[in-house]
Amino acid sequence: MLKHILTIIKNERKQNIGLWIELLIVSVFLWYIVDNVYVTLHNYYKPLGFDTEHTYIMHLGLLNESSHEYVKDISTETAVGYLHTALERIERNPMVEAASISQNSSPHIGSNRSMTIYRDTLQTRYGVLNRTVTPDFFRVFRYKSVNGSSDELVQALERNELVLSTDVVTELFKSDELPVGQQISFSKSDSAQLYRIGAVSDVVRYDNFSNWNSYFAQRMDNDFLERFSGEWVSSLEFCVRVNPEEDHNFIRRFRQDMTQQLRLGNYYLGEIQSIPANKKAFQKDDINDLKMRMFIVLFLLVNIFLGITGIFWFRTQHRKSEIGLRISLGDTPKEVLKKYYIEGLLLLTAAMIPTMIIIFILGREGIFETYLMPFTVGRYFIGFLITYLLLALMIIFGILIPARKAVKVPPAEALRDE
Amino acid sequence: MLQQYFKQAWRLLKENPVLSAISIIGTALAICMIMVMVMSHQVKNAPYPPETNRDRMLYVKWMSSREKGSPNSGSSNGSMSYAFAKACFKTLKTAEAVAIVSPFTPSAIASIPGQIFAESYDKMLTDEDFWRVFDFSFIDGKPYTKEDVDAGLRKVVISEKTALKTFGTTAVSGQRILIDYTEFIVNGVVKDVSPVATAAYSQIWAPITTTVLPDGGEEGIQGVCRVYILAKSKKDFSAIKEEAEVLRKRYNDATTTYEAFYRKQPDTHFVYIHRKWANMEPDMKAIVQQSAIVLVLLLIVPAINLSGMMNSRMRKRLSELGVRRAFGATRGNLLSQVMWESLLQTLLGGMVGLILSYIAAYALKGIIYENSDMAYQLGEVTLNPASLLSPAIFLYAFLFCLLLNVLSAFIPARSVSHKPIVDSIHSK
Repeated sequence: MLKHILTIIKNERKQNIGLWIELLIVSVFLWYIVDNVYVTLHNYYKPLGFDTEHTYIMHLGLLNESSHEYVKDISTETAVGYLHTALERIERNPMVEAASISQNSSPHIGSNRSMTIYRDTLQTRYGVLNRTVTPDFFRVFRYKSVNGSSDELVQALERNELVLSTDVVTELFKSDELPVGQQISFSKSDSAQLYRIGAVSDVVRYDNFSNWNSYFAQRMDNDFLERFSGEWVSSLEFCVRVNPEEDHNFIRRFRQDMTQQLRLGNYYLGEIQSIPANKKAFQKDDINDLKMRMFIVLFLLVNIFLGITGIFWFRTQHRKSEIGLRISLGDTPKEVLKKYYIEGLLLLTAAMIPTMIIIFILGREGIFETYLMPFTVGRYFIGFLITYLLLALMIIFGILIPARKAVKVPPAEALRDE
Repeated sequence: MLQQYFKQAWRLLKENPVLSAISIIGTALAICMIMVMVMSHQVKNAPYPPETNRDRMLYVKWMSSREKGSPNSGSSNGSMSYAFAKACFKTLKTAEAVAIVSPFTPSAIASIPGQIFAESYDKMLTDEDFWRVFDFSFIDGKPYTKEDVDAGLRKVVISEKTALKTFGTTAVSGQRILIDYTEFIVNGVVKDVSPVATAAYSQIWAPITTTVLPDGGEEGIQGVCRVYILAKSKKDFSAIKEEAEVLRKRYNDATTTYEAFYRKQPDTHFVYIHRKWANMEPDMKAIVQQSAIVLVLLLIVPAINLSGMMNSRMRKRLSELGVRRAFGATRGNLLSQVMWESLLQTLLGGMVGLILSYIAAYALKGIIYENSDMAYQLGEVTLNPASLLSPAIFLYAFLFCLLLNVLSAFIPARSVSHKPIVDSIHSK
C-alpha cells in the first residue's frame, strides 16, 4: 500500500512540492517558536518559592521644608525610632498578618543589589542578591527553609545570622558539609569580617521569567535604617501580608485607618501598591511577548489547515471517480480516507527530515537561547514532537473535511463521471 | 470589459463557496495579523495628543559618565542632573524648545487643605518648555511660565481625574491644593493623559524647581532628569546632534576627573522606545531584523497557500482558458482576467481582515498597548483602539493585499497561459 501511495504522491508532485515547501518553512519556524514557548513555560511554572497573594508594599514620604507641618531638627536617632514605631503600628493594624521593612528586596520591583560571597578560597561566580530585611519579611512572603519552615529563617535573622539560599550553598559547600554554623564573608581579604550562617532557604526565584535563584538575607539593623532616615526614606519598603478575609479595598481602608497614625515627625504614609498588581506590571513585557508568540503559532497552524484543506479539496474532487472505483471494488470509505491520511502524513514526514537537519545545524551554531535551558537532545526532540503533533493534527483535520464529503458520494455516481 | 471580468469573477467565487471561503479567510487572517503588528507599532510611534510632535522630537533618556581618558574603565549610567541638562541641552540654539523633566518622583498624595484623607497620584517635575514640546489641551487655567519656574513658585497643573477626585469639579484654577502635605496653587487643569504617552504622561505636573532634586554621582553630572528636544523640523536632527556634541565637549573640558557621554543619544522616537537600559545602546539592527523576519513569515505562508490553491483552480479551468485562447483571446487578456479575479478575492479578504482587525484591536488591547513601563502607572488607558485604524494603516493593509494577490495569482496564471492551446483544450 505504501508503494501505491508513494506513486500517487509522485504523480501529484507539482502540487506536492508546493505543499512540501510550505510545510518545510512552517515547521522550521514552528519548531523555533514552539521551542521558545516550551522553554519559557517550563521555566514559568517552576515553583517561585514565595507567595505574593494578599501582600502590599507601601512607602513613607518625607515632608518638604516648605510644608507648614515640617518639624525642624529631628535627630537621626529619633527618626530611626519613628521608623520602628511606624512598623509597630502597621503590625498592630487588625487587617495585617505580618509586616516588614526591607530595601531593594521586595519582589517584582526591578531594583536589586547583589554581592559576591567568599568562603576560604571559594567564591560565587555571579553576584548574589542581597536581601536586607527585618525578620518578619520571611513571614510576609512565606519564604521557606529547606526543612519547610518560615520560622527557622525568621529565628536565624533574629540571632543576627545570615540566611543563604540552596544555590549559594551548593556553590560554596561540598554536599556532605553542613553549612549552618559555618562562616562566610563579603570580601576576599583575610581581615574581612566573617558572618555566621543561621539557616538555609529553599529555592526562591527572582520572577517567573528569569533564572536568578541565589540570594542571601541579612537583618536590617539601626545603622542601616539611619542611612535611610533622610531623603532616601522612600526607598525603604514596608511590606505587609493581609488577612485574606480583609483583602478587599484594602488600600483605601488602610489609608483611612492609618494616615494619621503614620504621620510621625516628618514622615507620612506615601504610596501603597498591591504586589500582585506590581507583578503583573513588572512581567507585562514578557507576558506580551509570550502571547504574541502563541498567536503566531496559532496563525501558522490555521494557515496550514487552510492550505491542506484547499489542496485536498481539489485532489479529492479530482479523484472522485477514483474513489468511486475503489469503493465499488470493495474498499470501505474508512480505508480510502486512511490512504489520504497516510499521504498527508508522509508529506509532513518528508518535510520534517530537512527541518531536523536545519535545526540541528542551527543548534550546533549556538543560535538558540540557552540561558533557561541547555540545548539538549531532550529539548530538541520535545520541540519536534510538539511541532509534528500540531502539524499532523492540522493535516488530519484538513484532509478529513474535504475527503469525507468525497467518500460519501455513491459509487455509481462517481463511476458515471468516468 | 472590467464589468464583465467582475461578473465572471463573482460567479467563480460563488461556484465553489468552500474554497472561496478558505482563500478569503486565509487572506483575512494574514491581513489581521499584519494589522495587529502595525497597530502595536503605531501606538508607540504615531503622533497623537499630547505627543503630537513625535516625528520631530529627540530624546535623551539616559546618559553615562566615566573617568576621563579611560574609555574602557567602568561607567556610571543613569539619568542626568538638572544642572547638566541646563548646561548641555537647554542652550541648544538649533532646537525649537528643550524640556527638562524629572519623571522619577514617587507618586504624590493630594488633598484639599483641612482634609485628613488623601489619594495618591503620579507626579512629574517639568520646566516651562514641557508645555511647548507637548500639546496638552487645557480645560481650565493655563500652564506655569518661565518666571514661575525660575522663582520656584508652587504652582501645579493637574489632570481632569485628579481635579474631579480632589475637588469634585474641574474649574479649580487658583484653588489651594496640598501635595505631599505642601501647599500648591492649581494653575491649570488638563484632559487626562493615557499612560501610552510614556514621555508626557502624569497626573500632576509641578515646576522642577519646587523640590531640591537629589544630585549625586561624578561631579554633579548625574541626577534624576531627562531631556525632550523639539526640533523645528526633522531636517534639523543632525544639526541638533552636532550642537549637542559641541556642548558636551565644552562641558567635559571644564570638568576635572569625569566626563559625560551619551551612547549615541539624542534618540529619535523609534530608537527612544527601544532604549530600555541605561548602560547599553538598543540593538536596533536586531530589532528591525526580527520584525522583518516575522513580517516575511506572515507574508510567505499565506502566499504559498493561496498560490497552491490558485494552481489547482487553474488546472481545473485549463480547458476553459484553452477554448478562450482558441477564439482569439491574447495571453494578456487571460492574465488580466485572472488577476482581476484574484484581486476581487483578496479585496474581499482584505475587508474581512479589516473587520477582524477591529475585533482584534479590542480583544488584544493588553498586548497592543500596554508595556511594563506604563503598567506601573495609576492612570487608565483612555485611548480608543479603533482610532488607530487610520487611513494610513488601511493603505498598508491594501498594499499587503496587492502583494499577496500578485504573488499568488500571477505565477500560476502565467504558467497556464503559456501552455499550448491544444493541450489546454484536451485537458479534462
